[in-house]
Amino acid sequence: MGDLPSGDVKAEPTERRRTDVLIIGSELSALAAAAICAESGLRTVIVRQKTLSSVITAQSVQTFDHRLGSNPEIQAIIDRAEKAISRSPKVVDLQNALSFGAFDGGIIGAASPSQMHIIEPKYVILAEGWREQPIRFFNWDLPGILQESAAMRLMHSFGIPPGRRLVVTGVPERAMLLADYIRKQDIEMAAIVIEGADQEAYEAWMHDLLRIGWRITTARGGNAVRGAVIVNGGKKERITCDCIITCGSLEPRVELARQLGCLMSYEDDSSPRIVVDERCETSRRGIFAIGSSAGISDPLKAVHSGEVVGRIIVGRHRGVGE
Amino acid sequence: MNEILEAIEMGHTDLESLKRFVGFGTGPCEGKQCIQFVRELLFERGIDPGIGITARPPITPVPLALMSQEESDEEKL
Repeated sequence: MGDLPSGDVKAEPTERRRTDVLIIGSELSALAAAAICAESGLRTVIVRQKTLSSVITAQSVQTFDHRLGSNPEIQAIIDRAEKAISRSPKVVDLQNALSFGAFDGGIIGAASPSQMHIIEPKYVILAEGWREQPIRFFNWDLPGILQESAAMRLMHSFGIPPGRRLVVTGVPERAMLLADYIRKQDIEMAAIVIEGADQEAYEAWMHDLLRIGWRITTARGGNAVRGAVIVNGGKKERITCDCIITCGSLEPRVELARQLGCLMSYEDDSSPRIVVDERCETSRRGIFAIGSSAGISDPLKAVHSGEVVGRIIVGRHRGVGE
Repeated sequence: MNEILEAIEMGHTDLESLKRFVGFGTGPCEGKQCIQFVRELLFERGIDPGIGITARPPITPVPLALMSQEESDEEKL
């Protein structure tokens, strides 16, 4: 797997920058907005954690469709954005960077591996996407228990199987897609533990693996996962495995929006959402939330939200209306 | 989890109060994973979790080495 990173951080002087548009995130919606802004000649700063080559995987996990990588329409969107970003001298693309906070005056801080960036934008586009929530059971933090995105990164980006005999559990739609992907990697699966509909709704090859209506209560093992205990009412079953992949609920990343003072709503399931209007603008004028941050999970609709916001910002910047 | 449930029984029924009493949300995840879990615990018990813990930067850990490159006020003068 390579050497451990050293503890030394070679820090460069802090960069201060004023910009027209700051786009935070690496989702397809962010790329779509970046393309519009770049092609229109706006000063644009992009703060994202992933390179373009892995955005498909990221978006795939976030939107549950691992087939996005072979979607020509999506690939065309990525290609266009890549060209626009690389060709425009007014675009600063901070790859492998994270925004870490919002400060007085609308200033936003970002950190790349060797430099801190203090950015003063006129417009902000939040496209930070989802965060997976863990699924909790006894020993849920044992080595060998992975969230879906981590397992996908290992398999899809690095070709590394997360284990030899896997249990998949969580949100049924994603668990099914993940199980199908795992099967195509020729990795043995021990069980698919989900709440859900009738077994007949799922493909035939899954039937022996499915544990519908069951849930994991315990991960067994000392230093690493060696098995799982699942229950369904009064019934209990022990499953031997060395890896448990959880497809937990997805919650939008809202911390930066909250720090910027954007209005939040709290749904019945008690998870916060950024409040946006029909133009994806938050309660703070000039701050927009698109894609997953606005609760849009469909990739093409997310792209549309990015394009719409990009055009709105270009129009406002030029003073020509929206 | 037992500590949180006990704290709820003692009357700490909002996120901020629970955080100060139990300490959740102050660890490495900075609350990104545990806050939602505690919200759900309160919600399941018919308790309004409130608007949540005050969001303060940094959202993610930032190496001090990067922060040290920022000019101090004395240097700016």
